[in-house]
Amino acid sequence: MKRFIMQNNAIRIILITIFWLLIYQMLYMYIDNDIYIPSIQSILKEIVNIFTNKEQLIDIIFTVGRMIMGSTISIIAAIIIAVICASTTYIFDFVKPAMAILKTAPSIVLIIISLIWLDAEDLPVIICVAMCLPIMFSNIVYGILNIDKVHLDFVKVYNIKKKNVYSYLYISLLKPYFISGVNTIIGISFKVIIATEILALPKYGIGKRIYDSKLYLKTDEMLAWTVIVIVASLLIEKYFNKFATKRVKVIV
Amino acid sequence: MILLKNIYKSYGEENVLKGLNLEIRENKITCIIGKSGIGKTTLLSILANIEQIDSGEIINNNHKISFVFQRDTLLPNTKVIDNFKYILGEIYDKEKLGTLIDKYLEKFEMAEKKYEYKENLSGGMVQRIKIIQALLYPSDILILDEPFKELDEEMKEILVTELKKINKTIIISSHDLDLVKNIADDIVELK
Repeated sequence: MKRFIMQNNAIRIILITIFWLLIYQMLYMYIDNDIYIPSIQSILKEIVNIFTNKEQLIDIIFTVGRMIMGSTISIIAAIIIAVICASTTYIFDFVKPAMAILKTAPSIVLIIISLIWLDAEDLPVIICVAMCLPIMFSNIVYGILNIDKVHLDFVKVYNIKKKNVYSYLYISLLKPYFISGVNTIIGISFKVIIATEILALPKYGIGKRIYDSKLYLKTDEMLAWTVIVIVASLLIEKYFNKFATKRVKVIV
Repeated sequence: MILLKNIYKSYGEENVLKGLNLEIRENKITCIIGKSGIGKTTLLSILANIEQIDSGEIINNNHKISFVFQRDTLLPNTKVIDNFKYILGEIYDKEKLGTLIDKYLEKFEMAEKKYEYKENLSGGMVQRIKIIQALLYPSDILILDEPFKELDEEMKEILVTELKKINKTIIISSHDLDLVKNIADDIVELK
Protein backbone atom coordinates (compact mmCIF):
# COMPACT_ATOMS: atom_id res chain seq x y z
CA MET A 1 0.00 0.00 0.00
CA LYS A 2 2.80 2.38 1.02
CA ARG A 3 4.73 1.54 -2.14
CA PHE A 4 1.63 2.19 -4.23
CA ILE A 5 1.13 5.62 -2.64
CA MET A 6 4.81 6.51 -3.20
CA GLN A 7 4.64 5.41 -6.84
CA ASN A 8 1.47 7.41 -7.27
CA ASN A 9 3.17 10.43 -5.76
CA ALA A 10 6.18 10.10 -8.07
CA ILE A 11 3.93 9.86 -11.12
CA ARG A 12 2.02 12.95 -9.95
CA ILE A 13 5.25 14.96 -9.54
CA ILE A 14 6.51 13.88 -12.98
CA LEU A 15 3.19 14.83 -14.61
CA ILE A 16 3.14 18.26 -12.93
CA THR A 17 6.75 18.89 -13.99
CA ILE A 18 5.98 17.88 -17.59
CA PHE A 19 2.95 20.17 -17.58
CA TRP A 20 4.98 23.23 -16.53
CA LEU A 21 7.83 22.40 -18.89
CA LEU A 22 5.29 22.20 -21.73
CA ILE A 23 3.87 25.61 -20.79
CA TYR A 24 7.40 27.04 -20.76
CA GLN A 25 8.19 25.44 -24.13
CA MET A 26 4.99 26.88 -25.64
CA LEU A 27 5.90 30.34 -24.33
CA TYR A 28 9.40 29.93 -25.74
CA MET A 29 8.01 29.00 -29.16
CA TYR A 30 5.45 31.80 -29.07
CA ILE A 31 7.91 34.58 -28.10
CA ASP A 32 10.70 33.11 -30.20
CA ASN A 33 13.46 35.25 -28.75
CA ASP A 34 16.29 33.66 -26.73
CA ILE A 35 17.01 36.87 -24.84
CA TYR A 36 13.50 37.03 -23.38
CA ILE A 37 12.91 33.31 -22.98
CA PRO A 38 15.75 30.89 -23.67
CA SER A 39 15.08 27.29 -24.60
CA ILE A 40 15.03 24.50 -22.01
CA GLN A 41 17.94 22.87 -23.84
CA SER A 42 20.13 25.98 -23.55
CA ILE A 43 19.34 26.32 -19.84
CA LEU A 44 20.25 22.65 -19.26
CA LYS A 45 23.46 23.19 -21.28
CA GLU A 46 24.33 26.15 -19.06
CA ILE A 47 23.69 24.08 -15.92
CA VAL A 48 26.10 21.42 -17.21
CA ASN A 49 28.63 24.20 -18.02
CA ILE A 50 28.37 25.57 -14.49
CA PHE A 51 28.96 22.18 -12.90
CA THR A 52 31.96 21.45 -15.10
CA ASN A 53 33.62 24.80 -14.40
CA LYS A 54 35.76 24.91 -11.24
CA GLU A 55 35.42 28.68 -10.76
CA GLN A 56 31.64 28.52 -10.94
CA LEU A 57 31.55 25.66 -8.47
CA ILE A 58 33.45 27.93 -6.06
CA ASP A 59 30.68 30.53 -6.57
CA ILE A 60 28.07 27.96 -5.54
CA ILE A 61 30.13 26.91 -2.50
CA PHE A 62 30.52 30.55 -1.41
CA THR A 63 26.81 31.36 -1.73
CA VAL A 64 25.65 28.16 -0.02
CA GLY A 65 28.32 28.69 2.67
CA ARG A 66 27.10 32.25 3.27
CA MET A 67 23.52 31.00 3.45
CA ILE A 68 24.41 28.32 6.01
CA MET A 69 26.51 30.76 8.05
CA GLY A 70 23.87 33.52 7.96
CA SER A 71 21.05 31.14 8.89
CA THR A 72 23.05 29.51 11.68
CA ILE A 73 24.00 32.86 13.21
CA SER A 74 20.34 33.99 12.97
CA ILE A 75 19.09 30.81 14.64
CA ILE A 76 21.59 30.92 17.52
CA ALA A 77 21.14 34.68 18.09
CA ALA A 78 17.33 34.35 17.90
CA ILE A 79 17.28 31.56 20.50
CA ILE A 80 19.49 33.53 22.92
CA ILE A 81 17.57 36.81 22.49
CA ALA A 82 14.17 35.07 22.64
CA VAL A 83 15.01 33.24 25.88
CA ILE A 84 16.21 36.51 27.46
CA CYS A 85 13.13 38.42 26.21
CA ALA A 86 10.69 35.75 27.35
CA SER A 87 12.08 35.88 30.87
CA THR A 88 12.48 39.67 31.13
CA THR A 89 9.53 41.70 29.90
CA TYR A 90 11.27 45.07 29.82
CA ILE A 91 14.11 43.72 27.65
CA PHE A 92 11.43 42.35 25.32
CA ASP A 93 9.90 45.85 25.17
CA PHE A 94 13.27 47.22 24.00
CA VAL A 95 13.96 44.45 21.51
CA LYS A 96 10.45 44.40 19.97
CA PRO A 97 10.75 47.68 17.97
CA ALA A 98 14.23 46.76 16.70
CA MET A 99 12.93 43.43 15.43
CA ALA A 100 9.87 45.12 13.91
CA ILE A 101 12.10 47.57 12.01
CA LEU A 102 14.34 44.79 10.69
CA LYS A 103 11.27 42.78 9.73
CA THR A 104 9.54 45.56 7.83
CA ALA A 105 12.50 47.52 6.41
CA PRO A 106 13.00 46.79 2.68
CA SER A 107 16.12 44.62 2.34
CA ILE A 108 17.37 46.81 -0.52
CA VAL A 109 17.54 49.84 1.81
CA LEU A 110 19.54 47.86 4.37
CA ILE A 111 21.88 46.61 1.65
CA ILE A 112 22.52 50.09 0.23
CA ILE A 113 23.06 51.66 3.65
CA SER A 114 25.37 48.83 4.72
CA LEU A 115 27.32 49.03 1.46
CA ILE A 116 28.61 52.43 2.54
CA TRP A 117 30.38 51.14 5.63
CA LEU A 118 30.77 47.38 5.25
CA ASP A 119 33.03 45.14 3.20
CA ALA A 120 31.39 43.53 0.16
CA GLU A 121 32.62 40.11 1.26
CA ASP A 122 30.91 40.29 4.68
CA LEU A 123 27.75 42.06 3.57
CA PRO A 124 25.67 39.07 2.31
CA VAL A 125 25.96 37.23 5.64
CA ILE A 126 25.20 40.38 7.66
CA ILE A 127 22.13 41.24 5.59
CA CYS A 128 21.00 37.60 5.79
CA VAL A 129 21.21 37.76 9.59
CA ALA A 130 19.36 41.09 9.62
CA MET A 131 16.51 39.61 7.55
CA CYS A 132 16.30 36.15 9.14
CA LEU A 133 16.87 37.02 12.79
CA PRO A 134 13.48 38.74 13.37
CA ILE A 135 11.60 35.86 11.73
CA MET A 136 13.35 33.24 13.83
CA PHE A 137 13.07 35.45 16.93
CA SER A 138 9.28 35.90 16.55
CA ASN A 139 8.78 32.18 16.12
CA ILE A 140 10.77 31.25 19.20
CA VAL A 141 9.68 34.06 21.51
CA TYR A 142 5.99 33.49 20.76
CA GLY A 143 6.57 29.76 21.18
CA ILE A 144 7.92 30.43 24.67
CA LEU A 145 5.17 32.92 25.53
CA ASN A 146 2.51 30.48 24.30
CA ILE A 147 3.64 27.61 26.51
CA ASP A 148 0.51 26.27 28.15
CA LYS A 149 0.17 27.45 31.77
CA VAL A 150 -0.41 23.88 32.92
CA HIS A 151 3.20 23.02 31.99
CA LEU A 152 4.48 26.01 33.99
CA ASP A 153 2.32 25.01 36.96
CA PHE A 154 3.73 21.50 36.66
CA VAL A 155 7.30 22.89 36.79
CA LYS A 156 6.36 24.93 39.87
CA VAL A 157 4.67 22.11 41.77
CA TYR A 158 7.41 19.58 41.10
CA ASN A 159 10.13 22.18 41.59
CA ILE A 160 11.82 21.08 38.36
CA LYS A 161 15.41 22.28 37.93
CA LYS A 162 16.09 24.99 35.31
CA LYS A 163 18.43 22.62 33.48
CA ASN A 164 15.59 20.13 32.99
CA VAL A 165 13.11 22.86 32.06
CA TYR A 166 15.40 23.92 29.20
CA SER A 167 16.48 20.48 28.06
CA TYR A 168 13.07 18.80 28.25
CA LEU A 169 10.20 21.28 28.36
CA TYR A 170 11.54 23.94 26.00
CA ILE A 171 12.95 21.46 23.48
CA SER A 172 9.76 19.44 23.24
CA LEU A 173 7.35 22.40 23.18
CA LEU A 174 9.37 24.75 20.96
CA LYS A 175 10.34 22.21 18.33
CA PRO A 176 7.37 22.98 15.99
CA TYR A 177 8.04 26.74 16.21
CA PHE A 178 11.74 26.15 15.54
CA ILE A 179 11.10 23.94 12.49
CA SER A 180 8.59 26.37 11.01
CA GLY A 181 11.02 29.29 11.53
CA VAL A 182 13.95 27.47 9.92
CA ASN A 183 11.83 26.42 6.94
CA THR A 184 10.86 30.06 6.37
CA ILE A 185 14.40 31.41 6.63
CA ILE A 186 15.98 28.83 4.31
CA GLY A 187 14.18 30.31 1.28
CA ILE A 188 14.52 33.91 2.45
CA SER A 189 18.24 33.61 3.21
CA PHE A 190 19.03 32.46 -0.34
CA LYS A 191 17.01 35.34 -1.84
CA VAL A 192 18.63 37.92 0.44
CA ILE A 193 22.17 36.64 -0.04
CA ILE A 194 21.91 36.57 -3.82
CA ALA A 195 20.28 40.02 -3.92
CA THR A 196 23.11 41.35 -1.73
CA GLU A 197 25.74 39.65 -3.89
CA ILE A 198 24.24 41.27 -6.99
CA LEU A 199 24.56 44.72 -5.39
CA ALA A 200 27.78 44.27 -3.40
CA LEU A 201 29.61 42.14 -5.99
CA PRO A 202 31.91 40.12 -3.75
CA LYS A 203 34.72 38.15 -5.44
CA TYR A 204 32.76 34.87 -5.45
CA GLY A 205 29.05 34.18 -5.36
CA ILE A 206 26.05 33.19 -7.46
CA GLY A 207 24.77 36.78 -7.28
CA LYS A 208 27.87 38.06 -9.02
CA ARG A 209 27.36 35.50 -11.80
CA ILE A 210 23.72 36.49 -12.20
CA TYR A 211 24.81 40.14 -12.40
CA ASP A 212 27.33 39.26 -15.14
CA SER A 213 24.77 37.28 -17.13
CA LYS A 214 22.35 40.20 -16.93
CA LEU A 215 25.09 42.54 -18.11
CA TYR A 216 25.78 40.40 -21.19
CA LEU A 217 22.10 39.52 -21.73
CA LYS A 218 22.81 35.83 -21.15
CA THR A 219 19.31 34.92 -19.98
CA ASP A 220 19.91 31.19 -20.30
CA GLU A 221 22.84 31.42 -17.86
CA MET A 222 20.79 33.57 -15.50
CA LEU A 223 17.96 31.02 -15.47
CA ALA A 224 20.47 28.18 -15.06
CA TRP A 225 21.75 29.86 -11.89
CA THR A 226 18.16 30.37 -10.74
CA VAL A 227 17.42 26.66 -11.21
CA ILE A 228 20.54 25.80 -9.19
CA VAL A 229 19.48 28.14 -6.36
CA ILE A 230 15.95 26.68 -6.27
CA VAL A 231 17.24 23.10 -6.23
CA ALA A 232 19.83 23.93 -3.53
CA SER A 233 17.15 25.63 -1.41
CA LEU A 234 14.74 22.68 -1.78
CA LEU A 235 17.48 20.16 -0.97
CA ILE A 236 18.57 22.02 2.17
CA GLU A 237 14.92 22.35 3.27
CA LYS A 238 14.27 18.67 2.59
CA TYR A 239 17.31 17.44 4.49
CA PHE A 240 16.67 19.82 7.36
CA ASN A 241 13.09 18.56 7.71
CA LYS A 242 14.25 14.95 7.49
CA PHE A 243 16.70 15.63 10.31
CA ALA A 244 14.36 17.84 12.37
CA THR A 245 11.36 15.53 12.27
CA LYS A 246 13.44 12.72 13.72
CA ARG A 247 12.49 12.49 17.39
CA VAL A 248 14.71 14.55 19.62
CA LYS A 249 16.86 12.46 21.92
CA VAL A 250 17.33 14.48 25.05
CA ILE A 251 20.82 14.32 26.47
CA VAL A 252 21.11 15.24 30.12
CA MET B 1 -3.26 18.84 59.48
CA ILE B 2 -4.01 21.61 57.02
CA LEU B 3 -6.59 24.19 58.02
CA LEU B 4 -8.39 26.44 55.57
CA LYS B 5 -10.28 29.31 57.18
CA ASN B 6 -12.83 31.47 55.45
CA ILE B 7 -11.25 31.12 51.99
CA TYR B 8 -12.46 33.38 49.19
CA LYS B 9 -11.35 33.02 45.61
CA SER B 10 -12.77 34.59 42.48
CA TYR B 11 -11.83 34.86 38.81
CA GLY B 12 -12.97 38.29 37.65
CA GLU B 13 -16.68 38.53 38.41
CA GLU B 14 -17.04 34.85 39.17
CA ASN B 15 -16.82 33.92 42.85
CA VAL B 16 -15.59 30.35 42.97
CA LEU B 17 -14.92 29.81 46.66
CA LYS B 18 -17.02 31.78 49.13
CA GLY B 19 -15.94 31.51 52.74
CA LEU B 20 -14.68 27.93 52.56
CA ASN B 21 -13.63 26.30 55.84
CA LEU B 22 -11.90 22.95 55.70
CA GLU B 23 -9.72 20.68 57.78
CA ILE B 24 -7.54 18.13 56.02
CA ARG B 25 -6.28 15.40 58.30
CA GLU B 26 -2.69 14.21 58.11
CA ASN B 27 -2.05 10.81 56.49
CA LYS B 28 -5.71 10.40 55.61
CA ILE B 29 -7.47 10.30 52.28
CA THR B 30 -9.72 13.31 51.78
CA CYS B 31 -12.05 13.22 48.79
CA ILE B 32 -13.59 16.39 47.40
CA ILE B 33 -16.81 15.99 45.50
CA GLY B 34 -19.21 18.44 43.92
CA LYS B 35 -20.72 19.50 40.61
CA SER B 36 -18.55 20.50 37.67
CA GLY B 37 -17.34 24.09 37.93
CA ILE B 38 -18.03 24.27 41.66
CA GLY B 39 -14.34 24.93 42.45
CA LYS B 40 -12.77 21.52 43.11
CA THR B 41 -9.78 22.17 40.83
CA THR B 42 -9.42 25.70 42.22
CA LEU B 43 -9.30 24.31 45.76
CA LEU B 44 -6.67 21.73 44.81
CA SER B 45 -4.64 24.43 43.00
CA ILE B 46 -4.76 26.58 46.14
CA LEU B 47 -3.55 23.65 48.24
CA ALA B 48 -0.73 23.09 45.73
CA ASN B 49 0.21 26.80 45.90
CA ILE B 50 -0.50 27.25 42.19
CA GLU B 51 -3.36 29.68 42.84
CA GLN B 52 -3.38 32.44 45.45
CA ILE B 53 -6.41 33.08 47.62
CA ASP B 54 -8.18 36.45 47.63
CA SER B 55 -8.75 36.33 51.39
CA GLY B 56 -8.79 33.90 54.27
CA GLU B 57 -6.11 31.89 55.95
CA ILE B 58 -4.36 28.60 55.27
CA ILE B 59 -2.56 27.06 58.22
CA ASN B 60 0.28 24.56 57.81
CA ASN B 61 0.42 24.52 54.03
CA ASN B 62 4.18 24.37 53.46
CA HIS B 63 4.55 20.84 52.24
CA LYS B 64 6.22 19.13 49.37
CA ILE B 65 3.44 18.25 46.96
CA SER B 66 2.92 15.90 44.07
CA PHE B 67 -0.03 16.72 41.88
CA VAL B 68 -1.88 14.77 39.21
CA PHE B 69 -3.32 17.55 37.08
CA GLN B 70 -6.61 16.99 35.35
CA ARG B 71 -5.09 18.23 32.08
CA ASP B 72 -2.37 16.53 30.07
CA THR B 73 1.01 17.47 31.51
CA LEU B 74 3.20 15.00 29.64
CA LEU B 75 5.77 16.51 27.30
CA PRO B 76 4.98 16.20 23.59
CA ASN B 77 7.45 14.43 21.27
CA THR B 78 9.00 12.83 24.33
CA LYS B 79 9.34 9.21 25.42
CA VAL B 80 7.65 7.90 28.57
CA ILE B 81 11.04 7.28 30.19
CA ASP B 82 12.12 10.89 29.52
CA ASN B 83 8.89 12.18 31.04
CA PHE B 84 10.01 10.49 34.25
CA LYS B 85 13.60 11.74 33.99
CA TYR B 86 12.21 15.26 33.48
CA ILE B 87 10.89 15.47 37.04
CA LEU B 88 12.75 12.70 38.85
CA GLY B 89 16.18 12.73 37.19
CA GLU B 90 17.63 15.10 39.78
CA ILE B 91 16.00 13.33 42.74
CA TYR B 92 17.05 9.68 42.39
CA ASP B 93 20.28 8.23 41.13
CA LYS B 94 20.09 6.61 37.71
CA GLU B 95 19.94 3.03 38.95
CA LYS B 96 17.29 3.63 41.61
CA LEU B 97 15.15 5.66 39.24
CA GLY B 98 15.35 2.89 36.65
CA THR B 99 14.25 0.29 39.21
CA LEU B 100 11.38 2.46 40.48
CA ILE B 101 10.13 3.26 36.98
CA ASP B 102 10.19 -0.41 35.99
CA LYS B 103 8.37 -1.43 39.17
CA TYR B 104 5.57 1.11 38.76
CA LEU B 105 5.20 0.65 35.01
CA GLU B 106 4.80 -3.05 35.69
CA LYS B 107 2.25 -2.36 38.41
CA PHE B 108 0.16 -0.19 36.08
CA GLU B 109 0.61 -2.58 33.14
CA MET B 110 2.68 -0.13 31.12
CA ALA B 111 6.05 -1.93 31.09
CA GLU B 112 6.13 -2.31 27.33
CA LYS B 113 5.45 1.43 26.85
CA LYS B 114 8.62 2.63 28.58
CA TYR B 115 10.28 3.80 25.36
CA GLU B 116 7.05 4.82 23.61
CA TYR B 117 6.45 8.41 22.56
CA LYS B 118 3.67 10.25 24.32
CA GLU B 119 1.77 10.69 21.05
CA ASN B 120 1.44 6.91 20.75
CA LEU B 121 -0.31 6.56 24.12
CA SER B 122 -4.06 6.43 24.68
CA GLY B 123 -5.80 8.84 27.10
CA GLY B 124 -5.86 6.13 29.78
CA MET B 125 -2.14 5.44 29.35
CA VAL B 126 -1.29 9.13 29.63
CA GLN B 127 -3.31 9.25 32.84
CA ARG B 128 -1.43 6.26 34.25
CA ILE B 129 1.96 7.86 33.47
CA LYS B 130 0.84 11.09 35.20
CA ILE B 131 -0.21 9.07 38.25
CA ILE B 132 3.09 7.15 38.36
CA GLN B 133 5.02 10.45 38.14
CA ALA B 134 3.15 11.74 41.17
CA LEU B 135 3.52 8.50 43.10
CA LEU B 136 7.28 8.41 42.52
CA TYR B 137 7.84 12.03 43.49
CA PRO B 138 8.90 12.20 47.14
CA SER B 139 6.20 14.42 48.66
CA ASP B 140 4.30 14.95 51.89
CA ILE B 141 0.96 15.43 50.20
CA LEU B 142 -0.41 13.73 47.11
CA ILE B 143 -3.12 15.67 45.27
CA LEU B 144 -5.07 14.01 42.47
CA ASP B 145 -7.52 15.95 40.32
CA GLU B 146 -10.02 13.52 38.78
CA PRO B 147 -7.50 10.66 38.73
CA PHE B 148 -10.02 7.96 37.76
CA LYS B 149 -11.02 9.75 34.58
CA GLU B 150 -10.03 7.73 31.49
CA LEU B 151 -9.08 4.69 33.59
CA ASP B 152 -10.83 1.36 33.06
CA GLU B 153 -12.28 -0.61 35.99
CA GLU B 154 -9.16 -2.73 36.43
CA MET B 155 -6.88 0.30 36.55
CA LYS B 156 -9.22 2.10 38.95
CA GLU B 157 -8.93 -0.92 41.24
CA ILE B 158 -5.12 -0.94 41.00
CA LEU B 159 -4.98 2.80 41.77
CA VAL B 160 -7.33 2.51 44.75
CA THR B 161 -5.25 -0.35 46.19
CA GLU B 162 -2.06 1.66 45.67
CA LEU B 163 -3.46 4.81 47.28
CA LYS B 164 -4.70 2.86 50.30
CA LYS B 165 -1.18 1.55 50.86
CA ILE B 166 0.42 5.01 50.89
CA ASN B 167 1.04 6.56 54.25
CA LYS B 168 0.73 10.23 53.41
CA THR B 169 -1.92 12.90 53.15
CA ILE B 170 -3.91 12.33 49.98
CA ILE B 171 -6.46 14.74 48.53
CA ILE B 172 -8.61 13.57 45.63
CA SER B 173 -11.28 15.29 43.60
CA SER B 174 -13.64 12.93 41.83
CA HIS B 175 -17.09 12.49 40.36
CA ASP B 176 -17.05 8.76 40.97
CA LEU B 177 -19.08 8.45 44.18
CA ASP B 178 -18.69 4.67 44.51
CA LEU B 179 -14.92 4.94 44.36
CA VAL B 180 -14.93 7.90 46.73
CA LYS B 181 -16.95 5.95 49.29
CA ASN B 182 -14.55 3.03 48.94
CA ILE B 183 -11.36 5.02 49.36
CA ALA B 184 -12.07 8.13 51.44
CA ASP B 185 -11.42 8.68 55.12
CA ASP B 186 -13.08 12.08 54.81
CA ILE B 187 -15.49 13.32 52.16
CA VAL B 188 -15.93 17.04 51.49
CA GLU B 189 -18.78 18.18 49.29
CA LEU B 190 -18.45 21.61 47.71
CA LYS B 191 -21.79 23.38 47.22
